[in-house]
Amino acid sequence: MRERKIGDTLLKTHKLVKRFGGLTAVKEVSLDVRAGEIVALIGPNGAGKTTLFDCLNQLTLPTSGTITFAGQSLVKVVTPTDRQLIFRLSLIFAWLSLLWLPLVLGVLWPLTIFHLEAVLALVSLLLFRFYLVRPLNKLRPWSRLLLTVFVLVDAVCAAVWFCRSEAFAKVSFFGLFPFYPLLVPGAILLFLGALILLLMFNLPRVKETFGQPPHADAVTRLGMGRTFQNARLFFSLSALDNVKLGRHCRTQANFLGTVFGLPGARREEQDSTAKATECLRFVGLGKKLSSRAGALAYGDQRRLELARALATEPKMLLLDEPVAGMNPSESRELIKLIRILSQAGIAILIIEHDMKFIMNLADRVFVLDHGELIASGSPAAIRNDKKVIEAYLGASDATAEA
Amino acid sequence: MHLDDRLFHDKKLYLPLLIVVLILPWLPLGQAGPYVIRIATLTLLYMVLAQGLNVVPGFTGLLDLGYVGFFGIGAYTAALLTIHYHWSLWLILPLAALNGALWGVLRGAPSLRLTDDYFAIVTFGFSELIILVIKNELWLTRGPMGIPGIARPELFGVVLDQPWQTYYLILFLLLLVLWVVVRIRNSRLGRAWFAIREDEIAAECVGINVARYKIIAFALSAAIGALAGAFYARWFRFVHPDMFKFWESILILCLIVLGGMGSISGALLGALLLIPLTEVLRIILPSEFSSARYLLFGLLIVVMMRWRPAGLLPVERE
Amino acid sequence: MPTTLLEQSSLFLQQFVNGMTLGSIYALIAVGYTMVYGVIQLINFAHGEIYMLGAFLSFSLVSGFFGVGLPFVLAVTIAVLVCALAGVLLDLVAYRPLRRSPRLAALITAIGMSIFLQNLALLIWGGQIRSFPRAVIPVFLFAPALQFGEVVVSWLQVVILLTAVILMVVLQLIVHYTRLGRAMRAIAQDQTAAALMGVNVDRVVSYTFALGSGLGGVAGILVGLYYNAVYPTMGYLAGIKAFAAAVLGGIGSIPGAILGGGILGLAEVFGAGYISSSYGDGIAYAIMILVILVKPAGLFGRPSSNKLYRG
Repeated sequence: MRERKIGDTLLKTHKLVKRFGGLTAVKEVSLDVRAGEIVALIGPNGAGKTTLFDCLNQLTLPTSGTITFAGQSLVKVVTPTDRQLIFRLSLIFAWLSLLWLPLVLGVLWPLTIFHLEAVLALVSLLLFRFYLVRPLNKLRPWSRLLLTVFVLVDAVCAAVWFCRSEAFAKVSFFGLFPFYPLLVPGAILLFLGALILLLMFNLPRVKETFGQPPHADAVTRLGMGRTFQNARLFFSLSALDNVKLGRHCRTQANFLGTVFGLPGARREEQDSTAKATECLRFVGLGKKLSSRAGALAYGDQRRLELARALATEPKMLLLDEPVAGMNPSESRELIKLIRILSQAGIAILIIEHDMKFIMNLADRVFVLDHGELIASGSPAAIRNDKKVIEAYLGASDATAEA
Repeated sequence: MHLDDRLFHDKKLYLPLLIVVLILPWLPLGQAGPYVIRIATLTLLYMVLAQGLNVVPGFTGLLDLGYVGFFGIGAYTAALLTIHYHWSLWLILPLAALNGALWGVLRGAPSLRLTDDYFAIVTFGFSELIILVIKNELWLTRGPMGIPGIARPELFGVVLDQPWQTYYLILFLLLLVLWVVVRIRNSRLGRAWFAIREDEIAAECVGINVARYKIIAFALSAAIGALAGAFYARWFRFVHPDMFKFWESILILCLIVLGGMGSISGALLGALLLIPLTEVLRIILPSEFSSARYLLFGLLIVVMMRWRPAGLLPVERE
Repeated sequence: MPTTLLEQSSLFLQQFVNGMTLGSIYALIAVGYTMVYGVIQLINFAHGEIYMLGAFLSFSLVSGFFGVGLPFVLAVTIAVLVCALAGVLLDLVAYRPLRRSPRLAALITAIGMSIFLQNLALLIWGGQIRSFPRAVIPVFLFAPALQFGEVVVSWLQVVILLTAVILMVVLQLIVHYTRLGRAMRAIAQDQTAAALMGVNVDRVVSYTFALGSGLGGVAGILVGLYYNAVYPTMGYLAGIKAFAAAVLGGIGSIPGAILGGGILGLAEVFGAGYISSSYGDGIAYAIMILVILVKPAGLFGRPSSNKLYRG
């Protein structure tokens, strides 16, 4: 066999944590994978292996910790000063709503039958506003968008208010209370405040602090392919279409190009068909191009999923129990494929229960138990690690045999 | 090869069809002639609408119960631009489509994370709100008085006032829409939509920006609806909020359920079967019961879902 | 325009009472949505039509539309029972065959059933607005029960509020202290596990439909009396509003539906009174959309049980 070249570090996590409510599924996991390396992730059921995968390819956001992949940081770090900035923004936002007071009274007044409801409406409006501020402190990615919309509404209201302040002045309410002199400066203040908030929401620092929503698609484009524990295919599409979907992130044809059948789009389509066919041949499905994915045998489905991941031109593959449900000859085939891929320089991180499979294949092994990394090292070292044997109590015999 | 793919490629399929629709206005139908052309025009209009709706529930798998909202937006856009500015239909059509797309994006953007039933409810609520606004903002839409006296469509300065002329006009629009959806269906874009329909998470993991492709689908679907609306306003020469009731959304949904969700030829067949039937029933039934023909649609939906959920011309991408 | 504080507050109180009456009716309907959703995760769009059916049946039985006029109490009882039965039939005919199909299919079927039932009523009873003949309804219902100055609470309002409260208490007792209730809660948690534990899922779902539809029928009768108007499309709007109430409270949660109904009733009455009467219906839609977009779990919903978020 040709000697494999292990390259530079491709993926590195530092103290990665994922919590679901009270449950910590991944506890301060720090690991690294180098280009061209085959690394196995083992551990008893419920050890958090799949959750770790979800964090790595950003299907879910990790609670804390950092992930670096191909030189890019996937998780933004929030510093205390940034947090404070956001907190101040939220306070401005909440108090800005107080300026709505005269506006709401002015609008409601002509239709209001008596004061009580106007006051109630105001109080509920204010409460609503303060309620909306809460997610700001939690720094949810979506809250920035939501707040932007509300601030825009503020700005529009301020404009209306400014333009119609004459009309409001006629409302008897303003004759009774000295609010009228505040109308025009209030409108200007509200408008400026909204404007400043809008600008601040778009500061790169604020944007980063809010973080991005989980974006597995972008991570895939960076070069992290993935397969799932139970093949997640597009079952009603053909095998070829499934793999062509893998080419999606490496192609650019847009709406107009497609509709008008521009030569670029057409060439790209042919190209992706050719590449997809090649991927299918590689995994041994060259004869089943046009069969429906749902109609394939289970082993074929697993291989189709691998082909789909390969079509994305990954630098690294996350394989979640790839041989589960395969017969011995199929799994031997798969080992061969994985070796070829790693020779091509693709890093492979693999979750597996089958010890024999791991010991034959992996360069290094990480052992996860209850979300914690309890051991790492060469397969031989892992086999004799006491902690691992304890964690695997029931499976210890099998481990010894392997 | 599936019927949808043959639609534009198989001469044996599309030539006879095209000939039939082209000579339809010239058939010697005597007294019934104008009426037949009217029904045919309406059928083609609903074909356009069904193609537009099909993009969202059929291609991306999200149930849209408020499609008529975009139809209404398109119709009112065209009506207002025509009566206030007397613009040409050929300027108004793209503008109405753009306006529809804009609202489609505005509706879709906040509801990207919602799944089936909640998405359906939001679309429904949204279209009801649109109709409510149309009904109540008298300064803009004249509300329940409707907007009468909208100019007829015209082409190179010639006013299209003959039934066969409007018939050819909607036929042209239908072919345009069909051309777009058939192309898209077999492209990178269409595949991405199908992937989202099948499994959103897997789609994300193969590098599809789910939010973006959903937004494109909403925009396209809404634009087609608005395009149909713009034609409708200029053809009918009158718009009224009651033309865009929830019923219409259901009727269009019924068309694609009958033909098969996601099937382009199915949506055409659905409209071809149901719209003439509706019109005939409208004549046969006494006026107080005329809206009871919707009973049939309700029943049809239930029966189709029970025994033929994939529709008459199911999509099988073999 | 009332000016004194006394007049103002009495108007407010009057609105409050009206809002609570409306709210308790919405709550009665909303409970039907929420129970069915809790058990089989289906939005039963046709529930509003059951409510309409309740109103029409009681009207027909009382006024002799079918040939014989029955005494009020008997007619109402029969109407409620028929509604419960209709709910069970609805499930049996339309939803049960689709239990294993994609959710979209069941949802579309529900819409189809709603359209079908509404137009069936149109065929049977015609499109015009019907009203209960005054002679056959107990007269006391329209007399004022309480009066503080300007504020009048009619017996009908008292009856509506009391009925709603009593039915809700009974429902809570059923859900929490009977075998049926336990089975319902078990199915809501995990249908397969419940079936494995020997719960007859189909039967429990039927009972759920019966209970929910019965309550919907009661609501229909009460509304028919309250507004004295019965028409085929009445279920459409009321159904949507009640659904909004259920979503507001957190769909799947019965106390949530009750609270949501109350809030929605008040919001509608005050909104129509003080913001804009022509946008009265819009308030329900707006609340519904906002809740779904901002806090889809509602006030009492369990965020984990409705799978709104991906992954």
